[in-house]
Amino acid sequence: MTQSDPRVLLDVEDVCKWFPIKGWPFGPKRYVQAVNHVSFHLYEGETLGLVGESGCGKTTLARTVLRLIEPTQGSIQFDDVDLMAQSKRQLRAMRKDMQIVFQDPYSSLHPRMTVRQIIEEPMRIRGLYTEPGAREARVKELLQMVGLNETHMDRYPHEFSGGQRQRIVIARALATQPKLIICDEPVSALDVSVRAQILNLLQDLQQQLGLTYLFISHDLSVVEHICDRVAIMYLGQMVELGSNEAIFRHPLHPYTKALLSAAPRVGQFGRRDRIILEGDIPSPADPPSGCRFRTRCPYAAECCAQEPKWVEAEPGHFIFCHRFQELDMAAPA
Amino acid sequence: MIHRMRPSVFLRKYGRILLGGGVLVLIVLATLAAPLITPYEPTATNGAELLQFPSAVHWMGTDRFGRDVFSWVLYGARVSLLVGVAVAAVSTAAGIVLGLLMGYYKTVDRIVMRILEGLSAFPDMLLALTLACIFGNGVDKVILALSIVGTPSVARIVRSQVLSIKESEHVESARAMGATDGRIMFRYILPLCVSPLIIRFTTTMASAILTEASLSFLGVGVDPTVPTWGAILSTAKDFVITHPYMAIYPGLAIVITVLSISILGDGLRDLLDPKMK
Repeated sequence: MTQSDPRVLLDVEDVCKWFPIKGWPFGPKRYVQAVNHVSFHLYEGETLGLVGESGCGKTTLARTVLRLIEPTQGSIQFDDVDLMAQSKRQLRAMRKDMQIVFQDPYSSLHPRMTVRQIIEEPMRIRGLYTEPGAREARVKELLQMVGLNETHMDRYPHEFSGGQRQRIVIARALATQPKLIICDEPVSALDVSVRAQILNLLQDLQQQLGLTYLFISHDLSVVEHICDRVAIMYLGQMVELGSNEAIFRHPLHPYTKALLSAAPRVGQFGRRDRIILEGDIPSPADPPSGCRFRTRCPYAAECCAQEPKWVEAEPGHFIFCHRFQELDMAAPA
Repeated sequence: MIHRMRPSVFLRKYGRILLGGGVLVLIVLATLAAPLITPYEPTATNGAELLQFPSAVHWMGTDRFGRDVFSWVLYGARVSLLVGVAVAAVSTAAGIVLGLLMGYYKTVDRIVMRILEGLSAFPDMLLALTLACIFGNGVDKVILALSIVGTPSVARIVRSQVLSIKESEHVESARAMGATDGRIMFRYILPLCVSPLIIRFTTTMASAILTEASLSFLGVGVDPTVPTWGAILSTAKDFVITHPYMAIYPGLAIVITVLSISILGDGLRDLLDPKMK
C-alpha cells in the first residue's frame, strides 16, 4: 500500500454463518459453524489473501460477504453502504460493483451461451451500454483486456481451454466495471503453466482499473506472490491477519507457523523445521471450546480453554491467540 | 465437408425417429385429407347399410347405424391427435412453471409437492375418470382433465433438474451479476433441462390419446356424436363376437398411433442422451 490513508471499501464486522443440521425434531438445534465471528477491512485497491485448509470456511465467507448466502449475523459495509439493510432489489443493483470469480471455469459458464452472450449478460441485466453497438464494442474491449480476441466472440465455452475459460469469466466479471472482485481460488483448477498467466492478468487488471481483490486460496506461494495483506482462517475463524511481510516473515499464530512450514519453498530444501500438527481438523459442527486450535496446538495451555481475543500485536497485525507473546519470545521465527 | 455415415449407423441413430415420425406424419396427413379420401361423412347414418362387413364400398364396414367405420376412424384421428398434442403442451407448460418454482423456492416446494403427491397417488385412469365426470363432456374438458393428470410427472422431472442445476456455479454467478430469479430460472436453468422434457412430451401425448379413447369408450369423454376412436369402440362392444371388424380397425388405429409416438420418443431419447453417442 503506497497511499497514506487508504479508504475502506469493504468493512466486515462480526459475521457468522451457521448452517442448521437436521436432527431430532425436539432435540437441541445444532449448527455447522462455517464462519464464526469474522471481522476484517478491505482497503480500496489492495489484494487481501484469505488462506486456510479446505473446509475452513473461506468460500462460505466469500459468498456471505456478497450476500449470495445470507449471514446468520454480523454487519457488512460495502462502499459506505450497509449491505445488510438493502432489499433484494437494491442488492441486485449493487451487484454491478462487486463480482466473483469462481474456482471452476468449466461449471461457471452457461454451456449454451456464446462468449458474446455470456459477457453481454451482466450489461443486459443491469441495463448498461444501451446505445446500438455499444455492447458489442464493450465485449470486444473486454476480450482484448483479458487477452482473448474478437474472433472468439461467437464460440461456445466448451471450445476453450481452462485458462481461456477463466479469462472469459474474468471478462464477464469486469463487464460492469466493478470495484471489488472476489477471487475464489481462481487458479486452483488450472494448470501450473496457465496459473502464472492468469495471476499476472489479475495483477495487470488491478493496476489498470484500480480493482480491489479478496483473493481466496490454499496455495501459499500464490498468495505470497499476489497479496498485499493476508488473513489466515482456521475452522471458521480468522486466526491471524497482517501484511504479506508480517505473515510470511514474522508469523505469530502457531497455526500460521505450522501452515507456513508445510509449504514447499525453493532453495530451502531440508532447512525448514516442519511443524507437524497432531490429529485431524475438528468438526465445525462441534468445535472445541475456547481457542478452536487448542486441540492440535503444540503450545496449548490451560488459558486456551477461554476464548481468545482479536488483538493487534503490531500495527496492522492482528492475532487470535492467548500466548503469542510468550511463544514469540520462546521461538523466534 | 459432408459427414458420411454407414447405413447401419444411420439407421441405429435415426431409424426410430424416421419410422415413428413418418407414420405420425402419414396419420396427420390422412386425417387432414379425410374428405378427399372417403366419400362418407363419419356421422352420416344409412339405414340401408347396417352392420356391413368390410367391402370395396365400405373398407372397414359399417356399424349398426350404417355409419362408415373407415370415415369414422379417419376423422377420429383429429380428436385423438388434438387431445394428445394439447394435453402434452398444457401439461408440459404447467409442469415447467410448477417444477421451476418448486425447485427454486423451498416453501413452494413444500406446499405444491404435497398436492402433486396426492394427485400421483391415484392411478392415472381413475383420476382422469373422476375429473372427466366432474368437468363433463367436451374436447376442452377432456384436455383439461388429462392435463391435470399429466402435469405432476413433468413438474417432478423439472424440479429434480432444477435442484441439481441451481447449485452450479454458472447459476451462482448469474446471481452475483444481479439477475432476477425469473431470469435465472428461464435463462440459466430451463435451457439445461429440455431434453428429458422432449421425451416426456411424447410419452404424455401417447398416454393422453389412450386415456381419451378410454374415457370416450366409457362415455365420459368427448360428446358421443363427435367421431372419436373411443366412441366407436363403445358401439362396437356389443358386436365384438359377430362383427369383430368394428372393434379391430379403430383398435389398430389407436395401437399404431400410440406406438409410432412411443417409437419416436424412444429414438429422441437415445439421440439426446450424450452417453449413447
